Amino acid sequence: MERTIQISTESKLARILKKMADDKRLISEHLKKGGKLKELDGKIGL
Amino acid sequence: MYEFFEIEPNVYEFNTKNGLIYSVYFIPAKDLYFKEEPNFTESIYIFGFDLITNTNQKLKYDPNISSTIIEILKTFFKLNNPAILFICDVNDNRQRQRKVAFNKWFKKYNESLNFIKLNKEFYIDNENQYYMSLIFNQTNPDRVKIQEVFFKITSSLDK
Repeated sequence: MERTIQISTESKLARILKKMADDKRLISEHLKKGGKLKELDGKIGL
Repeated sequence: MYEFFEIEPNVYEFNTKNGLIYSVYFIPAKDLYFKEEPNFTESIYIFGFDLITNTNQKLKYDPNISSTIIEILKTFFKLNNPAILFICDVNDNRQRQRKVAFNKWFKKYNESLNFIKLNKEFYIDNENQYYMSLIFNQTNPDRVKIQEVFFKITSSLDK
């Protein structure tokens, strides 16, 4: 079983994980509106 | 399995028999999240998929959805021989259920494939749980480097 790693919200990895999750939601909403992924250039990522 | 189409570079769509449209996408991970990691390889992509039809209908189990997504993964691997990195969607707090479902798919379909899947679980400040996985082909010539990168980003970046 995979060990769960505790990380601080201030860590670099936490920032990356949170941004990836936010971007996932943004991509989902954008695609649902009929948008293209390319149109999100500059809006997703760190 | 459903027929699928590449509707823009690295973005695929398919329609189900119930009139639902799913999107499957791959986006370069280094440019987006790991620019500062010198050893992060260009061949690692973020993988995601979504039901993009707005619907109120109760979703019925449809095994063709998972088989189509796996087929798209296989196609992408044949074309690019990448490693793919993904996290389970956390927005409705059902990330654990998603992890379990994807693991079942992976186990079922990987019997005929040669993929390796590495998994990490994180708690951020004992509050939000995130599941991150990396999948790559065991024939990938860069597999050692890819594994090292994954273990590095999931250990040294937690400071």
